Amino acid sequence: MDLAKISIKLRPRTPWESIDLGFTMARQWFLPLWLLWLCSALPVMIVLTLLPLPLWLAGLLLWWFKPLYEPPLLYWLSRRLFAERTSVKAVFGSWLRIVLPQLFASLTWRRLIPSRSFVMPVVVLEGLKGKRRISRIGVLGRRAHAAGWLTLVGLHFEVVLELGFIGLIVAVIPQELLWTDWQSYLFDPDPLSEWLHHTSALVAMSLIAPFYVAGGFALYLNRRSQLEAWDLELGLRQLAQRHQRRGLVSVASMLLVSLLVFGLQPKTSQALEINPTASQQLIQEVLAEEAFGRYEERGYWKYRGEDSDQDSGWLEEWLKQMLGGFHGNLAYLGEIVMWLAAGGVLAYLLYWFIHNRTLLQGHGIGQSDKKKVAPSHILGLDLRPESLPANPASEAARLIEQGDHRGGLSLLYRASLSVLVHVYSLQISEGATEGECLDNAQGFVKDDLNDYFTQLTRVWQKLAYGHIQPKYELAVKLCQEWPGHFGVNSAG
Amino acid sequence: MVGQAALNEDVLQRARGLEAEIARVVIGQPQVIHEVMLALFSGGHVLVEGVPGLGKTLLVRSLAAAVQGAFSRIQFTPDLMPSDISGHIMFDMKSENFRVRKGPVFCNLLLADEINRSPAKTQSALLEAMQEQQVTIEGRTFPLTPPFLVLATQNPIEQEGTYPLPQAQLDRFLLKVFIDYSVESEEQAMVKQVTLGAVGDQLDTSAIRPQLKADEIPQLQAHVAQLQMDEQIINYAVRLVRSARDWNGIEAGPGPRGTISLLRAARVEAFLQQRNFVTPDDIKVAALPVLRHRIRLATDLEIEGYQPDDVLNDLLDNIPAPRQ
Repeated sequence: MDLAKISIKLRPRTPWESIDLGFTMARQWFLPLWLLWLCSALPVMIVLTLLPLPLWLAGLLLWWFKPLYEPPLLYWLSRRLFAERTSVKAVFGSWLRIVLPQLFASLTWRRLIPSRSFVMPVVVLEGLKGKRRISRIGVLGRRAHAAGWLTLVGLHFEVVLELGFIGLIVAVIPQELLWTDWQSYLFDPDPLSEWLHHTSALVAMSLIAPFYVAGGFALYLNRRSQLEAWDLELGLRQLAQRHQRRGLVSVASMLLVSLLVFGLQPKTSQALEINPTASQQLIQEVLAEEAFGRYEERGYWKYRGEDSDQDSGWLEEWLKQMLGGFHGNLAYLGEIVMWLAAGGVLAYLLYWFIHNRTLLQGHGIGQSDKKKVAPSHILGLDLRPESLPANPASEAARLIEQGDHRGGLSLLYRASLSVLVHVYSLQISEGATEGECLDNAQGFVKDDLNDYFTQLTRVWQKLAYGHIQPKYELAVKLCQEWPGHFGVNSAG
Repeated sequence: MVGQAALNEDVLQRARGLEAEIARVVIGQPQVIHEVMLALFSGGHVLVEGVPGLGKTLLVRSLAAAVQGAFSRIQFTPDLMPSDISGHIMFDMKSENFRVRKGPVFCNLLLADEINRSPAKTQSALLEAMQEQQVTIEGRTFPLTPPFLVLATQNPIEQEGTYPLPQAQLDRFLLKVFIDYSVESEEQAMVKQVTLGAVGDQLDTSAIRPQLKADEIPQLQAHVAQLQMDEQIINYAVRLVRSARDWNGIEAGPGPRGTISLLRAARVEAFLQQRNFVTPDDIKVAALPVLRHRIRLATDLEIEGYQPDDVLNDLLDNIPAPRQ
């Protein structure tokens, strides 16, 4: 590793800036990185296809084997960053050497570590293992929370891309060729749909992987640059070279430069082993020098917990009470509003039910059955047995005798209906006409009664609506025959 | 005034037999034939709704044959002009005079096929003729020869590119009749009869025996208008229509023209039932075809798939019949 050939500008960066830098590297070298990932992942997918595995398991394994596809990318990046031209073919030539170290651990207990992209260089590039690896990660890993966020965000992007591809496949297939519907395709996929899901997942993973690996690598570089002052080293080297070119290099400056360069130069193949106590002391000494005499004050908000020891002022107490009470009151108010809303909905439903009750009966539109059973009035006639005389036929005959044909026949017809409703349980709606009463009676009563009732109805209709008075003999005959069909006492 | 006494019993019986005569050719549609009779004898017009090919033309042709009236048919299209219906004045080169060429509306029985396919202006030309019983061509008024019955059809499907009749125009039709598929046995009989000896698509109405002369229809209409109607029947019809305006599920109810139409149709129903007076049963029989196109259902009922007939049946069941 020759720092002088590094392709990026070394300077202290925040973790987020480092991830940006990683993404820039991924964009710059996307194609080789993407090919590297795909060349590792495709054979795995083909093997999984050939194995007699359930499709869901094959999909899960494809995702789980990610640590198998990522190291070549990291290896290529680390070489390319220091201007070392390494072809994709060369990387695959040493694929096993790159991927195999600690593969088992990477695929098992380390698989779900959120900072996978950040710690991968420790294994792949530095080749550390065991306690040394842990110690190294301990030193590097401070303030490395950004790597966790990188994993989380990358995962989300991956899922979004995967769903997008899944949807795109069905969207572009012509309707005539579509073998399934959306719901089945998404939630109950057939084998073909399931393989399309896995292909979409592969494409989505391949697109995200270069950014993920490069982001993690940039975080790693930034951390090492901070710890090992790579930027200072590079700056001093450039300073020395400038002086050398001018021929004004003094022995003292050469000594100083040499001391600094050789004193701070990291071991290239693996990181320095730093004693934290000694380092801390050295840092304090360096910082105490005049060159580092600049201090910056930066303010930020930090929760420090309840401060019960301090006696706060009345204003603060009042504010706390008000604010605390505000939340309580707000919750109480919300509860009241909720109950009121529930009451309102209930009242509305009740109103709606009462208002639309006819719709809810029978076929939706229709009247209640109770109106059909023994109504007290039909056609405006009082059908209650108690409203009728003990012998309706005699009373009707008497009225007809007196010349009140209408009164007599009305009584006779009313009494007939009353018997049909109360004795024969004939169901007649309130709005039924004479014709409908007659129709309803057919089949309920004997033929002779039906004939009599038909004749009575016709006579009654003529009189009531046609103002055609029946012959006296016919009216009397109807009165005389009435008891034989309906019975004297049956109506009373 | 042509009274009951002016018409002999023979004419009345022939008029009552008209329905049965048409039913000999138009098989399987007794309800439709009956309702067309209501319109014919009450001087109203009919809006028929049904899919094509159910015998609407056959019905009107048969009716024309049975009453020996002039028959015309207009196929309404988007480019149909009012003058295509009413007629126009043309210059006769031979006589060097303007001559009136009367349109197809000058007939006794007019089939206006798919009336909702034409724009409002063309529809209005026909609706005006229906209402006024006369046609104005270039400022000259020509009365239509009675009887004049329009049977306009609407296709319930294929609503795209149509001009639905507004409520006010619908009100001008006395009845709205639904024509539907007949039962299998009747359809079989109809097909057998129509195809026997028929060449091409020609409709054979030769089996129809003329029952009436066209000029007897206005006399019959006058006779029907004289039928006895008790005050309670009028009250029942008014209550029915007024209740429909406030009935649950009806957004817009029928106007007074609905009541008038109901009573006109009920009188014909009584006549066809060989009565000289109207009963509540006649009102009920006429209520559905008279009122179904005069009400507009509430949106929620429409969404739930209810038809105007459902609501009207509910209304008829619940409004008490006349008190005597």
